[in-house]
Amino acid sequence: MLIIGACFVLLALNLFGIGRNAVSILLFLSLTLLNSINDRINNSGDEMSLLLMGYLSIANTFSYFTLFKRKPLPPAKEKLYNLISNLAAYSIVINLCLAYFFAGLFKLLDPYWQNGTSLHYFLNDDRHSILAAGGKYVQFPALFLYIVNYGTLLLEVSFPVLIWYKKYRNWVLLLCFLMHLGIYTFLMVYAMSLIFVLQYGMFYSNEEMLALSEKIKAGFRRLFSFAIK
Amino acid sequence: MQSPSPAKYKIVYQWLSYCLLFGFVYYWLFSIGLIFFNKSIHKAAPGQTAFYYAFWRQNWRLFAFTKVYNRELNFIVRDKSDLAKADTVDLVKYFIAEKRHKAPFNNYDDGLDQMLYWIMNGLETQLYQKQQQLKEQFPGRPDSFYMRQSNMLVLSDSLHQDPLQNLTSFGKFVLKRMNKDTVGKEFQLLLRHKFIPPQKPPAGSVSNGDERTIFILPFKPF
Repeated sequence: MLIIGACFVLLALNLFGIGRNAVSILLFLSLTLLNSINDRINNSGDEMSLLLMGYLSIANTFSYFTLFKRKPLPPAKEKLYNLISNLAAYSIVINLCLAYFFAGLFKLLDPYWQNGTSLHYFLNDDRHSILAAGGKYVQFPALFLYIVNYGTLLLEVSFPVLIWYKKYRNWVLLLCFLMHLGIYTFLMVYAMSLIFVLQYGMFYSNEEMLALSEKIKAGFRRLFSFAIK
Repeated sequence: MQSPSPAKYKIVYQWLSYCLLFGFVYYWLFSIGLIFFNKSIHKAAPGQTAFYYAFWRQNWRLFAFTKVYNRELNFIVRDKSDLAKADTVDLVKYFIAEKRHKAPFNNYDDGLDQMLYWIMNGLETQLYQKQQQLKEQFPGRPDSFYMRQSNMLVLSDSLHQDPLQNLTSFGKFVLKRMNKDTVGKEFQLLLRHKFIPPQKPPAGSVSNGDERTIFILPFKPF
């Protein structure tokens, strides 16, 4: 209970940016301790959350939405802090690429993924699949199963390469989003799907995000132009 | 005392940057190395590996193993005075139903389901190890022989009763949740694999249609 209480307090402080990186690092250590005590009831979503927590604890995530504005450091220290922050951001991105790549690679070693029948068994796994509730037998057309099976393998293995090209980035992220939406909806794997999708924003630059935000704002202004005087 | 000159600070920060970059590259090489050469790196750097696993454990075998059967763990409760009066609860289905009912805010039930999953894995691992020993001692026998003998060996192994005791506790926990009376009753545990078509149980196994019996705990009083 002491560890859980400490986690809650540190979470609250971290939410408002109080204590900055010191609190973040303490939070990461407490969550790691909590995770190691309860490692039998954790899943991939919990593992990924911890990794993200670890990387973000050393990054500069306190420029916005904090209670107290961050005072800039002397130039040389600020440069070093920026370097650490950038390395943390690259770590998040590299971690996601590796997660997808190795997930695809390990799937390729499974004979059922190789022959295209794996999805059939996952959709009939009553522990995860909502379609197989109560022991129902689920049958989908073979063509659909093959497309999704081999499409998943191709997507995961090619993710670390294609994601770095602007031409393919949006398509790759959209397909990954649809894959996770399917997992979330049909296979009852919630935390992992959310955590993975949350990281997609890291592949867009600050300028691209600001441009998108301006587009959305302009869209809302047009939509609600009747209310603007 | 005079403060150090800016040039010295610049060198310190430069070298700190190099160290950070080195640390970054080393961390990723170590991570990839652990994925590909797990045993070798464990042997070569046990301390670093333990430290790494404590904070950055990663396992990206996401849906990598295809399971071709569903597990059933039947907890059968019967009246000692009237053996025909029996009730069966499938513990696996019970927790799955609870999970579904409370989805997506089902962390607690998901946790219980995970615990049950790991305890069942523990029992199956025990059974598998005993079967491997039996196959070495008595090769060429049918699957049903290994199943029955391994069952007896697991039941008589007084030093490793934890999975069985935990599964029994799970059963009692579910009965309490369902407000089922256990006075004057006895229980039995039955672990089965229900194969997903077109998969079938292996030839020679203790099976009934698509279901293969893995473990039977004889009736015991509460």
